[in-house]
Amino acid sequence: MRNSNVMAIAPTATIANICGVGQSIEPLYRNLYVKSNMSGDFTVVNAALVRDLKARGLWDELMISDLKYFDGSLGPIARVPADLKTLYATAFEIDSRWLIEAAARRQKWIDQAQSLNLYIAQANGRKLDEMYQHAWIRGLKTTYYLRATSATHVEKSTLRGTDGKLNAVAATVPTVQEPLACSIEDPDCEACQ
Amino acid sequence: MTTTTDATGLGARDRARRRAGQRRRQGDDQLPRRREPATAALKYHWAWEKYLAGCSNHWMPTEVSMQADIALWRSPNGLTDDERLMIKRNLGFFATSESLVANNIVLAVYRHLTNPECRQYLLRQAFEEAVHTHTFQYVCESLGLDEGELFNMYREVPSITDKAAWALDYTQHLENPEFSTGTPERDQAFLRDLVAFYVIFEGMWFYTGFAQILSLGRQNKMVGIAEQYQYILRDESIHLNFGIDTINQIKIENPHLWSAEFQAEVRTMLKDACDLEVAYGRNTMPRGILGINAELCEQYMHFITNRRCAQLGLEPVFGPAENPFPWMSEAMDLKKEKNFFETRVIEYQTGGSLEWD
Repeated sequence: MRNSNVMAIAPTATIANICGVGQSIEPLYRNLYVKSNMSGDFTVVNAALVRDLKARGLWDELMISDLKYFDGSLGPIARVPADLKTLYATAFEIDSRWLIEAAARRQKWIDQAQSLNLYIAQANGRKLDEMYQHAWIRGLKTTYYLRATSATHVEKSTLRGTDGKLNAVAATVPTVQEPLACSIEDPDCEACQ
Repeated sequence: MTTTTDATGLGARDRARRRAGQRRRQGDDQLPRRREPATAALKYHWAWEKYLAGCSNHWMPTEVSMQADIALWRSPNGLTDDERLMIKRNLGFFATSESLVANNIVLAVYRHLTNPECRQYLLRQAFEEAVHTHTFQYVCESLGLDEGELFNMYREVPSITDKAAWALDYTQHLENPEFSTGTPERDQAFLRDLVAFYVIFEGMWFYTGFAQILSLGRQNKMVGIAEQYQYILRDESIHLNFGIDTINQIKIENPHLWSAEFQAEVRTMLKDACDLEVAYGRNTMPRGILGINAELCEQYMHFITNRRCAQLGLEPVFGPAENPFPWMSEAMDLKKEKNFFETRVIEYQTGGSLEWD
């Protein structure tokens, strides 16, 4: 038997979803998200997180809304304790450097290449360059998908009120109009010259 | 703030100033008639941001595979008659609407909204409308539908005719070469057009249609069209919110336009538009299909109408309404981890818009 056939890591995305477990070497995509493939869309929620939040009396309607609003990330939710935020950091919140470091350590024991997915929250040329150079320097044989996020998203349809994420101008009209006067800080004022 | 009938955005005063070697200051003029050459410093960053976001979201309909849809559409027992009627009328409404919206941008709004960064977004949006019209042409061709039937529905299906006629009234007013903004009455006419097209057409009337197709997609039916609609919905979300931001900006700069009477008028517009949409729901789903029917769509439209009121800073038109489609949480609200081999990933940004700092 050739050494190259002894140890491999299978891509386990769909199998993991069916079994209700995480995807072996993968970080959590999000704590609440939709798995979308040829068979349809399936809502996936991190059961371990739900258990821990229940134990601390934090699992309620508001928490579900917050998780939806913040795209399955605990980071911006104020009432979640810091230890849970660290424990359940999503793939986009973990610096990809650590995924590469872990893969490099693991590579030694794997004969074949790894399906190593990388994630980038705010796509940026320099960050991408550094990430892939780092993977090369660490001697990874391969990387797999790069997952990013789109520039904008549709408004959340099942939350109360509008999420307003796509609006930049306030909807309220200022009631008091400023009196018309020349500013003494404006030496170019046409009226004063 | 000065009036202009000059659609180039470069009025006589600008030329005089340039001769005198004076540079224009930011904020000299206000929406919708601010005149400035395209090189001037940005005043409305939100418009520029939306232009960039639109570019990063670029897609083409032909990237989405229609194979599963074609097989289902051809299979004699693949869809019920009710589902087929709904799909055809739905496509019929959208096919024409996208071009009506594009015409309104190019022939009406662009002439009067002269701020360069807003115009930059309008040009991007006009292109996106072309992509959407392409989508319906592509879907029509893929499924082997009768193009004449589809693109003529706005003449033949009463509720679609009514919606198109209602909106066209507002745009025709602005297309008149004699029309220019500059008096409160005319500025309000411009606002009415923005409400009719951005808030109502793109922000309300498209939503029953989105719900119908996403509801099918949820059952793994017409998944190609459902995916196309997810892209369109993402684009339309920016269109709508560009319109809302523009209206709110005009309100802030011209509070006298947003009088109590005018607010009441806008609320009436939203209510009438909602009634037209409810009729469209009945026309497209006379008997209802699994998971969606005209009554639920009516409730959904009340929910959407109230949201649009809130975005414009208006009192809601209807009593408290909830979204009757909780499954939209899965279809629209949550981030999707898609399999690259099985479907096209929506979470991406085009490489050309990458920053390198």
